[in-house]
Amino acid sequence: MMLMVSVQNLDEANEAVAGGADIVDVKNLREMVIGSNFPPVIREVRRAFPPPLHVSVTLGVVPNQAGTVALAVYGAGALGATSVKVGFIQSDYPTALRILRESRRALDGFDTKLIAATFADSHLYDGIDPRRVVDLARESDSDGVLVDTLVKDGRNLFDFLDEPTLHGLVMAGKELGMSTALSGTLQVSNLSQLVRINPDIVGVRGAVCTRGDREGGAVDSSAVAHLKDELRQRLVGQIDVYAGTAPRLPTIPA
Amino acid sequence: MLREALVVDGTAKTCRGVIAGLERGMTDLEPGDVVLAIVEDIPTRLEVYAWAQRKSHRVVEERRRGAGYVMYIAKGPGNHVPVLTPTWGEPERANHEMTEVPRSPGARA
Repeated sequence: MMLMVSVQNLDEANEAVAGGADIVDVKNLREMVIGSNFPPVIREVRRAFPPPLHVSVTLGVVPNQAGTVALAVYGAGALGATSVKVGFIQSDYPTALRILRESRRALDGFDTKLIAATFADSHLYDGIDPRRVVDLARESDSDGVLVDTLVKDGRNLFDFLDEPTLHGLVMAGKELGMSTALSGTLQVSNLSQLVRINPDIVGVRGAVCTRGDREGGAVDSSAVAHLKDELRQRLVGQIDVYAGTAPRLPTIPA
Repeated sequence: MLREALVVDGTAKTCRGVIAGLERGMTDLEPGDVVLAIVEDIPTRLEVYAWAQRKSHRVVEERRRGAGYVMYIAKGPGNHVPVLTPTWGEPERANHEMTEVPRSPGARA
């Protein structure tokens, strides 16, 4: 499982990578709390962290304008982003699908992966059912899926979608050959649930910021390292996330 | 000694994980062909077993590699390779059985 840390600038990217982040996700909190950052910032981060380090770009919540979005997606490809996330809130399924298909076409010739994103709390905004994200990705030939939240009021992903639902989405995505990512005000206290669900990527920001403040604080390398170690302990079984409920598998000598 | 037709390395830092790699890789293989999956954690190991069972593939051999596991998975349905069968939901019982699975028509040894 890879750890993705949202950053706003190169300083935060340096902190994230020093703490062990596998992916730095460049965004701009001043635009719709998960909006797009400016091309010079993305370029600067990418130059500092070339492949194989992953630098993803979020477009946040996109307008219902396929051409505008496709051009922004093209920009992410031209900047060398590992992936670009296109999220939908006040949109309908056919419109979102059309936007993703045009985004797919815009990435022709680039290595950048296209990620379809929905929001677990989209019912608050009369948006797309987040459980349709795998359908959207499959029909648009996207490379992966992300389920995030928009509200940043203390509620998180698990306040809107339960563990079995998220596990079902993750497995459906994986079985279609997609990468799968979960995000949305996730904390250390959520790690056991996340490890049981086992998405390919877990995204955080507030949990690794100074004072735990995703907007007023800044990404801190020691907080990233702490969260990464908590995650590792659960992945290798030093902390039992199954509490005795897991199926017993063959014991293999070390 | 099993010879794998494909290797899926879950330790590589790629966004797409082991199950996605297995799904894509198995498509072009024949029943009985073996895929080697390298997994680095317990949740993925559990997931591979569950996935294999659901898809009628079989985990036929497994070894530790550092903190992770090397898993050999035979594409289903059916061959003569002994299968490691987890006992789902019954942790108090013996944790696996070796089972001889009859060869299905057309399957390769």
